[in-house]
Amino acid sequence: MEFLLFVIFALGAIIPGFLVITQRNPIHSAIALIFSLLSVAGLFALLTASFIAIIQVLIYAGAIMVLMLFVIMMLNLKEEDLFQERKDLIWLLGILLSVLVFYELVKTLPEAYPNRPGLVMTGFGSLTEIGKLLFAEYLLPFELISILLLIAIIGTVILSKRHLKPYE
Amino acid sequence: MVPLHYYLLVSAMLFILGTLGVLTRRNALVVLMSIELMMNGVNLSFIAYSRYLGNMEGHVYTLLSISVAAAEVAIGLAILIALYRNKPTINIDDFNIMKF
Repeated sequence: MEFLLFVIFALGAIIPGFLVITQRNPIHSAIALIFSLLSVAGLFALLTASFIAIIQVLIYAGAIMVLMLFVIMMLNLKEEDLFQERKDLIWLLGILLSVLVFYELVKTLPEAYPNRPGLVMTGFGSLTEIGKLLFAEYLLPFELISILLLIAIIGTVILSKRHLKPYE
Repeated sequence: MVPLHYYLLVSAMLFILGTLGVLTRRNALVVLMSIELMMNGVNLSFIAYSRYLGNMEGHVYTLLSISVAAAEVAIGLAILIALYRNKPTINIDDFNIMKF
């Protein structure tokens, strides 16, 4: 049963991922990416990461992708703006190298160390356990992330201004 | 019981697809979305290892990674809009005035 769910979510993550990079219309790519993000959230839930799965749905699929869709629709690209991308040697070379890399990974990854899931504590993946780490050992990254988000807000507002009047 | 390397192979596949998208597509929006795909692959790898090693630190890294991705998407889209106002194209091949 777990393996069936894993296969469903894994295919739900990879096939829309393939659609993201091959669709011509960016709206189609965005919708495919939303499906991929939700499938990855399902994989997180299979791995007992309940809090991160919910955060993935809320923030990644719910805020980041909505922001991207807003911008795509705001740019208002007509059909003639969607150019025909080159479909030539670059794609072939890329796919060849990707197959090579993936084959090597399939050969070497089965020796990855913890082959069976370890014994975990009762509240594994809950917000309590993340909080215990986040406010004790990882306090500095936590504060830095808050500063990073502040910088992102300020930067976005400045970059979106129409005219920056020179100071007189 | 799903072995660990199945999750790692899915993560690697997502990362490879994202890299192909970033390096091949000329549409700036698709490039940004491919970057998000790459980051998702990495987050999946973090969470998989966290579960199989019994350690919660992978969850903390993933949370910080998602926050960084949110900030990066916001700034990337703001830059894209500012560029679009100057030159109304999203083909990244057209932004070549600094080319030697």
